[in-house]
Formats: sequence, structure tokens, C-alpha cells
Amino acid sequence: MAFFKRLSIRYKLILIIILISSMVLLLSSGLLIANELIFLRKIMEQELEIQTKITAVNIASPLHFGEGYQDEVDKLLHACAENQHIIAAYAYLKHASAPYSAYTRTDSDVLPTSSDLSTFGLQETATYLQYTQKIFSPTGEEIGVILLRLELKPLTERIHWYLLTVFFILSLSLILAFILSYYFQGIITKPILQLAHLTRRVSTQKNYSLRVDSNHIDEIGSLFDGFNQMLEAIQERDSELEEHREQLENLVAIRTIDLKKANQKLTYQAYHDALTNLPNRALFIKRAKQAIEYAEYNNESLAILFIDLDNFKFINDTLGHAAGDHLLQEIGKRLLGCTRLPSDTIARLGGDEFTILLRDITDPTDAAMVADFIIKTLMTPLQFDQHEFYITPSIGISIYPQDGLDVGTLMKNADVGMYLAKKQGRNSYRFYISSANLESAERLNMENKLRQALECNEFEVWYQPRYEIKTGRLLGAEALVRWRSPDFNLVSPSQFIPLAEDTGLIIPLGEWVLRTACEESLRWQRAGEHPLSVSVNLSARQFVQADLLSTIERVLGETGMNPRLLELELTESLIMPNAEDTIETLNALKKMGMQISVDDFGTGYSSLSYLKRFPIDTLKIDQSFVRDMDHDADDCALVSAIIAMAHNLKLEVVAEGVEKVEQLKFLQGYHCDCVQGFLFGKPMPADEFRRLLDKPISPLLLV
Amino acid sequence: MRFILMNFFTKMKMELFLLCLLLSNNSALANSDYATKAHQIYQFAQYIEWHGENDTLTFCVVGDNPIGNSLSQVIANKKINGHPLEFKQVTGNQLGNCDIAFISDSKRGELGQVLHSTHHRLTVSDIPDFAEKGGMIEFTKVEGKLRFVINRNAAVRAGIKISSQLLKLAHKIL
Repeated sequence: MAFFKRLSIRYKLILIIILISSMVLLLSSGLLIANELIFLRKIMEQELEIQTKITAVNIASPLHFGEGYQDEVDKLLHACAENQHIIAAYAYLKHASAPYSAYTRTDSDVLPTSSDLSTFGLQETATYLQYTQKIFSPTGEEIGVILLRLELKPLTERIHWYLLTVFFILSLSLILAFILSYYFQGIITKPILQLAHLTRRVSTQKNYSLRVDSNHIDEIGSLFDGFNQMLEAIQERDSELEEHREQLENLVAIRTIDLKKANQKLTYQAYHDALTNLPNRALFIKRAKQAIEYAEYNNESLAILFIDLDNFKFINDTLGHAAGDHLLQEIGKRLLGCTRLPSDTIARLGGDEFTILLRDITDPTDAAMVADFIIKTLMTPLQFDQHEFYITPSIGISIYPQDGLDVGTLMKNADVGMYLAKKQGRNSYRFYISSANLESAERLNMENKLRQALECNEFEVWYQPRYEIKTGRLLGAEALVRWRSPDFNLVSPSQFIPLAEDTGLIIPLGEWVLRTACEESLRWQRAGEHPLSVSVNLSARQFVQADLLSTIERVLGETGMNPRLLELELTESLIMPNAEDTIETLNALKKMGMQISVDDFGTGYSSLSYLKRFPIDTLKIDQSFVRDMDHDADDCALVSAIIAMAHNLKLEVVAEGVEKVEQLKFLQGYHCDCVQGFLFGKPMPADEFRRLLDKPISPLLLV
Repeated sequence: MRFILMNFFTKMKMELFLLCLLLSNNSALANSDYATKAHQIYQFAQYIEWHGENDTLTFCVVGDNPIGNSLSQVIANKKINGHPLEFKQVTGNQLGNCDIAFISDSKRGELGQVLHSTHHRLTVSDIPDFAEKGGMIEFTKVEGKLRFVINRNAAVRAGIKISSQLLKLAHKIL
């Protein structure tokens, strides 16, 4: 069956035709032969019966007459031989077991048995038919039996002949059927092949205008018509699709242009700062990368300038964002005028931060010149809403290749340089110094937090009481800054003060502490009682700040603080290096009426000779000496010497870090003026300190 | 083989018979001959279409009776197609009510008279040329065997209808 399925239609048709024709032939010839053979057989049977009966009648009388007529009987039996298919004839007298007369064609014929003789009528064996008939006398008396045998050879011969004929005819007709069907199958297969060929052409050429020539009016004709109609429908659809496609393509083309424009706009927006129209960080980095590649290839140098506006935040906060935005736009314009080459890039990174990429510089001084020029350009005040604003930049510079080989490093280092500039005192530029690189990373984190803390009022001012030993009276307090960070809880000043100094944050922080302490100390004063002073630490950064005096003056004026009740504490290390400048500042401060004290005395490289020249009022002995006084004789001696010396210089002495009564005893013995320490009170929040005012005498000192 | 043996036996029988003939006397031979003839006369009667139903058929010996007892013995208690049989000796020349008449040799000279009226009567004889002389069935010897000659015209004239079966056996038909 599988084999049949694989055949082509042509051979299927041939095979079917041959199969059908051979089946018809076989069936009809089989029926014909069977009919013929049955007929022949019947004829043979009849022939045998008639022959037997005739012979029986004929031999009846000679047999009846007996022995004398045996010749006659023999003659009659032999006459049967005229039928060449009679192979034997036997005549028996009644009840005789041996034949009365016999005729056999061959000697091999077997004598009839008694049952043969007693069974009358037709019998059949494999090779012959046999007919047994009684013989009667004229009077109807049974006188004997006659038996004839007719061979079946003609029948089998006929069968053989028929088979041969049928085989011959069948073969002939099969050949004929094959030849005819081979020629005529084309009537069916040719149009199908034609159709198949066209279908293939249509599908390979995608040409739906092809048509099959239909001159058939039969089912194939209708198939062809159907196929042509289908092609027509496809062609129609195809052309419709083509139309749609063209429309779509046009639409797509238009959209593509729109998209391109939008894309260009987006790209521009993606790479430019909306406010100033300057390139943004992304574009800056991209250009910087290209510039670095170019510089690397051409062995050139380039510089990156990191610009941060010093007090822009203040303007933004006080005058609003509109003013800030306007100023930023103005600054952007001015910066554009500061570059030398068209290939240099000025970008706004965000906020008040700008960067400048300077290509092909021959020397770092080229960058310095640009930075200088920027500072000068910004010196002209900015106008907004009939106000004038002074904006100063801090500029950090990094140079490729010595300060970094990639954009990230160069920008980070320029940033570090910018911090150095800020630290140095703003409105200035600094080149990156690689040693700053290490600490800056960790510091950056803390610094950001500090900035936030200042903005979010996370700082508090705590107060530590100071007592006069002689009277036991509360003299005042030292204002100490505390940072209540949401991240770290209460942060020790030793952790953040140095950082605040490094970053310059100490300047706004210091100002805030000063203002807060002044405001607080005004609440302490009570009519008729001894006024209480407050002492505020001044950092080195603050001290060197050019506007130090004006700042303090402003705070005093704004708070209404009596300068005589304000003591400024300076560290020993702060006042020593620039001794001449320091004296000048200190004198100015003294002139304003404030008290000056030297904090942590004894820890630095104290130069007692300088002390004489400084307008100092008080010495504060570092707590490290006081702490060990009760068990270290050296420290005792040192403390007593300091006190004695200070008294000689007409300086008051304050002992810090007094924790034990024993220490107090020593200090009393050395005639120390004032004490400060845990024994009398830890630094405490303002409201707690205020409660202390009700008991202005220390019980420890009531002797 | 069996047939060969059979033939052999038959031949042997014949030879024995002939030997017997040679050894036996003439009358013995004649007796045997007449017994056969008596039997055959009875058989001849069976091949004739007799008229009348169940009428007795009379077998007659006309003249001397060499056949005598043989014939009467043969037909004793027998019937032919329902006809009872009887035997009668006729001495004269008139056949009377005979149906089958054997005319003995003794009547050779008066044959004309005997055969004068043979209507519906079968005549048989062993007189030489009996048939030619107007008899119906004549016994004759052919190569030593007993045969018979039939004068069919005589039978037709006498209104005797002889079966073709018998005619076929005849040695000669006139």
C-alpha cells in the first residue's frame, strides 16, 4: 500500500486499469470456463449414460440367447471403442462374479468390484466416469449387468487448454491494457501536470497574473477555472496589499522623518542642560573621552576645570529658584566667553557646578590663565530684579595625562582640586594634588552629611559651666557644638570638627554656633545679679577668614550681645604660625571688647614669649594635665608652674577636665582661678543649663 | 491377464466339449442339440409381439418329436409377458391353435401343407432351407455353431412381428 502511495498518478492509473481489466478478464473467463467445463461434463455423463443404455439393450438379446452368442456380446462391447474415451466395458450375467464379456482399452483397467456392480447409475472416480446398468430380457427379466467407463481425460485436457488460453489472453490483454492506459492516462495526468507546473511557476516567480489554458469542459476544466479564479483573487489581493504597503511605506517615511526630528531634539535634550543650553554631564563626558583619545594619539595635554559657585546656595535659598536660574544662565553665558578654542567645552553638571574641558594646552598655566580669567569675569556683579549679586567660584583643575588617564579620574581629581580651592578660602583655583586623593574619598561622604546637617539644623550648642574657685560662683559656660545626626546619633566633635575645618564648612557652622551662643547667653542675664559670660571656640579656618571681624560684628549687632560677656577661645596651634597676622586680628577683637582665651594650653609648641605679646585674657590648662595631677608629680609641677606664670602675665587660669575632688584640692592649693569639668557639670543642652542658674554657687566650693 | 485366463478357460471348455462330442455317440450329441433348440424356441417366443391379453401361448411340435420333453420341460410353469404357456404335440399337417410350431424333420415332405396356414403363428424348424421354403425361423449350423435364419417376409405375411433384437441375432434374414 505504501508502495502504491509513492507511485505517481500516471502509474496509479495504469495500475488500476490493469488491475481492473485483469480482474474482469479473470472473472469472466473463469465463469466461462467453469460453465464450459460443467457443460462438457454433463455431455460426457449423458454420452456415457446413453452409450451404456444402448449397449445394454443391444447386448440384451445375445446375452439372453446365451453362450452361443458370446461373440455377439464381445462384438457389441468392442463397438463401444468407437467412442475413443470409453476405456472399459464389462458385461456380467446375473449373479456372476466374473465378467461374461469385457473390453478394456488398456490392460491396466481394474475390474469392477461387487459394489460397482450393485450401484446402478453414474459414479465418478478421479480418472473416469462409470455407468452401471441392468440388462433385461425382452420379457423384462433381469439377466445381467453392463458397466462402462469413460475417461475424464478430455475434461482435464480441456481444463489445461482453457488455462493456457486464459493465460495467453490475459497476458495479451494486460500488455494491451498497459499500452493503452499508458497512452490514455495522459488525458488525466497531462492537465494535472500542467496545473502543477503552473502552480510551481506561480509560487517561484510570485507572478499571480499567470493563467492556465483551459480547453477542457470536464471536471479538470472546472478545476482549471477554479484555479484561475483563485489566482485572480490572489492577484487582486496582492495588488491591494501592494497598495497598502506603499501607503504604509509613505506613512513610515513621514513618521521616520518626524521620529528623526524628535530624536534629534531628544538627543539634544539628552545632551544639553535645559536651563543654560550648555552641554550636560553626559555630553561633557563623551567629548572628554574623545578629547582624551585624540590627545593620547597626538601626544597632547588637556585640562578639566571643575567650577563650584561659592555662595550660590544662599542666593537660591533666600531669593528663590527664579533668581538662581537667572543667575545660572548669566553665569553660563559669561563662562562661554572665557574659553580659548571652539573645541573647548563648557558644561553644567547640575546645581551650581560647571565643568570646562580645555583641549590642546601646552602647559598647566594655560588652564590657570583660563581659571583666573573666569574669576575675573565673575567679579562683575550679576544683575537680577534690580539687585546686584556677587558670585565667586572655586575652581579645581586636573591635567591629562599627569592627573589621570580617563574622564572619571580627571573629573574626580578636578573636584578634589575644587575642594582644595574652597578649603583655601574660595574665589580661587587649585590644581589637583595627588596626595589629597586618598583622604578625599572617605571624607566626601562625611562632608556631604555635614552639609546636610547644616541645612537640616542637626547641630546643637551645649554648655559646660565654669566656676570661680575662690567664691564658688558660676561665672558662665563654654559653648560646645554637638551633632545629633540621624545616622550616627550624637557625633563627637573630634570626629567632625577637623572635617568641617578641611571642607570650610566650619565657617558657616562657626558663625551659627556664635550666633546661637550669643542669643542663649542673653537669656541667662538677670537684673541685679553678676552677669554670666559665654565662651565660643574659634577655628583656624574662621580665624584666617578675611571677613572674620565683620562677621562677628554683624552677629553681635544682630543679637544685641554685649561683647564683654563673649570670650573667644583660640587654640595654641592656631595663633602661633602666623604670629604677626594673629596679633593684628587679636588686637582688633580686643578693641571690640571681647575676651580672648587660649584653649588646650600646654599641648602645642607653646612659646611663652609670644604669649606676652598677644592680647590674651585667659589660659585654659588642657585637661590631659589636670586628669593626671592626683598621681603624677610632674603634671602637678607643670600645672602649678603654668598657673604661676599666667598669674605673672596677669592672665586668668581656667583648669579644664576637673573630675575628682582631689584634683580640685590641688588646684585650690595652686590658686587656680576657675574650674570646668565633670565634677561640676558635663556639657549640657541649653534648657538644662538654664535650670542650673537657680543654684549659681557650687556646693563643692563652699568651704 | 484375467481375460487371457478366461479365454483360455473358455477355449479349454470348448475343446473339452469337442472331445466329449467325439467320444460320445451321435444320439447324445443330438439330444444336447435339441435341448438347446428347445430353449431357443422358448426364447424366440419372447421376441414376438403376441396379440391378445393373457391368452395361453401354445408351443407345438409338428411331426416327430425329437425335441419332445426338452421343450415341455423348458416352458413348464413359465409365462411370457403374462401369457401362460402350454405344450402340444401335433401329428397332422394342421397347425390348429398352435402359436409357436416346431416342425420336425419328419414333415420335410409335407412342408407345403404344414405352412399352408400360418396366420399369427410362428414357425420354427431345423429342416434345411426351411426359411427359403416359406418357414419363419430356420435352425442352421454355422461353423459348428447353432444359428438361425429368419424369413422376415413370411413372418410379415403371417402377421408375426419379430423384434429387431432377434433379427439382429439372425445368421441370415431372407
